[in-house]
Amino acid sequence: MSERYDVIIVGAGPAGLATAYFLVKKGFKVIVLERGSEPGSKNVFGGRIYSYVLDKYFSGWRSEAPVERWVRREKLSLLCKNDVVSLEYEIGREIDGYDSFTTFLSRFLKWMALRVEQEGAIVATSVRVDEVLFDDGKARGVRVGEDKLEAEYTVIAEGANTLLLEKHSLRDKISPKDITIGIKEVIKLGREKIEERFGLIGEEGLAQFLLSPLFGGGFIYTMKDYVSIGVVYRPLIKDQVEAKDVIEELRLHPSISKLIGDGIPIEYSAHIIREAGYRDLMSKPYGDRYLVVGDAAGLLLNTGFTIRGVDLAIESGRLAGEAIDRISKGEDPSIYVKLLRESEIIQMLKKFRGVPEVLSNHKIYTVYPEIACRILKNMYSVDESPITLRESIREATGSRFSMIKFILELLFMVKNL
Amino acid sequence: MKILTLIKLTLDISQLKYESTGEPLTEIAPKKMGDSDKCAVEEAVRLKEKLGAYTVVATIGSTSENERIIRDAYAMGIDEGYIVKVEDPEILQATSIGKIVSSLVEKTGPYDLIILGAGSLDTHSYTLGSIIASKLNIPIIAGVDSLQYVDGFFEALCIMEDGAYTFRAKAPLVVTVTTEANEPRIPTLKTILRSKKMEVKTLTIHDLGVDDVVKVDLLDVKRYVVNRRKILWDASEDLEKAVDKFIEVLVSEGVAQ
Ligand SMILES: Cc1cc2nc3c(=O)[nH]c(=O)nc-3n(C[C@H](O)[C@H](O)[C@H](O)COP(=O)(O)OP(=O)(O)OC[C@H]3O[C@@H](n4cnc5c(N)ncnc54)[C@H](O)[C@@H]3O)c2cc1C
Repeated sequence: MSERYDVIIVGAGPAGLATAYFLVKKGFKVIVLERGSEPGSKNVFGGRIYSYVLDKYFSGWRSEAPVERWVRREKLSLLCKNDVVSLEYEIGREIDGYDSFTTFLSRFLKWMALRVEQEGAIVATSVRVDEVLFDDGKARGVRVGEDKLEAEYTVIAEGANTLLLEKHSLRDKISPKDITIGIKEVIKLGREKIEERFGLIGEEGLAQFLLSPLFGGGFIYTMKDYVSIGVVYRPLIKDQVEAKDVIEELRLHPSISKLIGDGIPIEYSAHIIREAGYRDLMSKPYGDRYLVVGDAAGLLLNTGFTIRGVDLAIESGRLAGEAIDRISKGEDPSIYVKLLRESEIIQMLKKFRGVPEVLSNHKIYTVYPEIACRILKNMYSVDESPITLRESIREATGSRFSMIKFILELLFMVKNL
Repeated sequence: MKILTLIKLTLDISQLKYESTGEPLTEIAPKKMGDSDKCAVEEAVRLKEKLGAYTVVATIGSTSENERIIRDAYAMGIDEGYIVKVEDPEILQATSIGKIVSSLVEKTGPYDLIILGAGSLDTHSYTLGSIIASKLNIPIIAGVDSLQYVDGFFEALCIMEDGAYTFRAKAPLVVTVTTEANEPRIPTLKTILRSKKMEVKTLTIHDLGVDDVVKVDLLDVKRYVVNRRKILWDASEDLEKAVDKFIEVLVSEGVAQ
């Protein structure tokens, strides 16, 4: 094919689109190839994006981007069979702007793609890249069916399911124990019911995290008219329901079903989540004429309660853009890793590197919620013989393990989360 | 030879969800080029490849998705495309669409062939082809399952309930095709890239000299519900008896005689 591009980007997720955005602004001729029929049609995502990264690079986004609600209320809930213990934080009104917002990734990516196209890059959809063309280890472009497309640089932004990287042996197949699936459902409830039941006014939104012996970790995000609920499935938990039923389990929990039980499920989706965290980072997310960005490179933060990938994907796209600019001016490709190391994202991933170990301790789903429910139940059930907090904790934990062990485990969790 | 293909942005009804009251949730349903419209595009492109025809595509609407389906048609091989800007085109009356199309034909034609899908996925009145033909005073072959160009004639096979009919007509004419007509091609990277760079022309109805359009009042749309009888009986004890009962029910429901 006669057409030549400076950079081909595989995947129109947040990482690919961000890379395109920063490169095209620097004057590169860029094309993004996406296998879905539209940007965002293949991505699964819970519902929250952090604002800081957009504040830095996308002027005017607060009025332009498809924001559903601004998160003002953060809630952590431990779900037992019937009871619930929650901790809630409401962000004060005086705060200037909001730290995060809920959105549908499909709409958000459409907006990003529009910005990218306005800058002059091409976003071509319904195009599945079959392989990266290598010439003696040097990436020369991609093959799509019968067609070949050449470029100076290729950026792999294929997301968590790293088929291309594995095909070219640039990344090991991930071990099943480092993988879990995120399952998500979108439920139509209507604006009024959402605001009334979740106690929200106007554009305010709620982000809620759940821990439960019934399904592991989960989340709830409020959109304008919809509620997004999801579960990070942990098949290793004993006696857990099957993956296909797990979201049902969440939706039918008494404390959840009273909020959304009469809503209509309109979307169901699932996606793999890489869980190894810092360990899963590609040690060399670059090579001769190619770079890897976003989830594909392992740049995903699983804090135990939240999955954060979009802001990291955008930031890694920016760094990839800067790296390609500098490589094209003669610097060594390792500059990309240097930039990543100096950036906040790697610092952040390092900070949370103990998380996989905490998450693999099933007690945080199976035992702790029960204990918390028991303690509070003891404290708040009034009968002739009131008990103290200390007694209540002892009663709730006693039969399972020693107080000292309990405290040590809590400390371990606190240290790593 | 010059061919005009008409395409419509329709709801992807296979992905339609409903309120508990039965109203479709149209605002969240994905949209796409209609299935039989896509076959019309494919048919036009095949004639282009065989006979060197020049192909034009047009759609009516006002959103960026209208542009997307024009580009989808470009990626399949169409040469030129128009969007006629109208708000809420889905509630335009077919006669108004006919008026817009015949003016478009006058402005951008003449065309030897005007080809479109037999019915759209969402409103499917199956009348548009005939309205256009009568406005332009040219013949129509409707519901075509296979189209050929033989010795200066368009020859069309239409499979109907009482048999297979072959019709022939000379250009200019209108043809509406079913989804049986062909298997639309999947664009390649090369054609997708080309489609991205092509110009999409827009026209208003005033550019076409049409100053008023009639809209349909949409009173109600409800999901089509099949009421099941939900008759159950136990066949574990006596199968013979259960089968007799089954037949009895089929007869009493009028399913069997
Ligand atoms: C259940 C769940 C909930 C989540 N919730 C949140 C949240 O609330 N907040 C948050 O910030 N993050 C969340 N994440 C993480 C977030 O979705 C990802 O980190 C982010 O989307 C990663 O962006 P990316 O561009 O690297 O990859 P992706 O978004 O996965 O994009 C990759 C793109 O590449 C395309 N592609 C892949 N292979 C090819 C190919 N061969 N040819 C062409 N195209 C290809 C795909 O179709 C896809 O569009 C969640 C993830 C899951 C699974």
